[in-house]
Amino acid sequence: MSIAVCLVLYSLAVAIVGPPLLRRLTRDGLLPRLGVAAWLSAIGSVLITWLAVAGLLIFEVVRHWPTGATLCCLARLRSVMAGQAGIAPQTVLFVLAATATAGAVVFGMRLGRTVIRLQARAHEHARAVRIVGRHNRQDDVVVIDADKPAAYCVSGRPPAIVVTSSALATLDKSELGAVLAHERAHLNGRHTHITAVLRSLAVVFAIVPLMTEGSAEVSRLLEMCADDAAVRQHGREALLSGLLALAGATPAPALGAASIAVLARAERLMHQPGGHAQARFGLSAILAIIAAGPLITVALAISGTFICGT
Amino acid sequence: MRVRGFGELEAVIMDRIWNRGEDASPTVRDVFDELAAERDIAYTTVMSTMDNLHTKGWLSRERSGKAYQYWPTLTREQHTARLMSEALDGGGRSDLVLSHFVEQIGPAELARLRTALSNSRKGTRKR
Repeated sequence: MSIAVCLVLYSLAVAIVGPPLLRRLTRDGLLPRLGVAAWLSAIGSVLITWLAVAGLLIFEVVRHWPTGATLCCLARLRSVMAGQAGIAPQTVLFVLAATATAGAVVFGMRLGRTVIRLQARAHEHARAVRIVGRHNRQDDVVVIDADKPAAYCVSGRPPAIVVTSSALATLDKSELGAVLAHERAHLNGRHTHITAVLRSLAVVFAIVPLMTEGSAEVSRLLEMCADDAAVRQHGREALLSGLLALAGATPAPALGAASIAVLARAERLMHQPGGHAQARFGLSAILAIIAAGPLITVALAISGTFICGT
Repeated sequence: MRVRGFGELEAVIMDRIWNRGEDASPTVRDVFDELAAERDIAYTTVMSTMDNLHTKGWLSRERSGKAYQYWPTLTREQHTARLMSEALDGGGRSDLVLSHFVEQIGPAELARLRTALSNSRKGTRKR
């Protein structure tokens, strides 16, 4: 039981301290891949901890079955009703276990349904785009006739990189190469899948800032990962001028989060700020703590040295 | 021209039907004859693909005698417009997950970006 309490405290700590700390460490986008790994491990460890807590509670109830839980519960309940005793710990345990199980089932099903819905929508779009569009010489690129310049990728069977005819007209050869390399990096790195799962988590756990912020921050960092891949193949100049050509084609009416993200990406590409060593150290430390956190918590709880290990 | 899976065959068939013009309503036989002239393909494959396109709302059909006559529910341009508004006007709120290369930005940010870029280019040349 004390292990479960400690794990809950641990997950609360990660969920509360994690977002501001990770945001600060990944703000400059120095090491986007390591940043993505840190966010994902924070989110993953919280989810696994919640599942472990539910599992532990169920285990406790089963261990005391039937004498401990039900019989005792009923007897105690009767005496509570009669005003002879306080609420028994077994009753609390039973209620907690039932709540945790119900929560895991409900949220698990919602999550599954959301992921499936998002994937189906994406696959349907990829398929429709292939029917309507023209195919370039490259297999994965579909050209759509539209007067708005745009490029994006969408997962599907097979996935598609969509480029509008207007974007083709706007970009020169090296810019187009950089744009396609950026989108291909998304597909090769399965970024669209990661985004879909995180978006679903953000929808299902809308009140948990770690999930909502994690979804937004990881998308931002994945853009930077894809930028790096494009720069490696086509150079900074090509990517930056491609970015500029497509970002300003039909200006957005107001300054939104999207504009800020684009500026941050461009500035990162232009200036390549220093401080890699510090960022690497900070993110690696966080990763190690997050990975070892649940184990340390459990070990401390078992050895009884922790405050909640009573 | 090779065909890779049903996905591409769907595209080829829609292409042929759209190219016949708005008033045409070919049967599976008509489409099959046209395709079979150029490639090795089974009648049943064409039939099931067109049936699939009907189920998914791309084609409408009406029975005339023994066979169905098919025609497109929307023009290619109408489909394109629908897909593009789905992809570009969602603003990240829709449940369609896409990775856009870049979002559109406001005129002030664009100007700032242009200046910064030309400054950084000058800087690179000096060095």
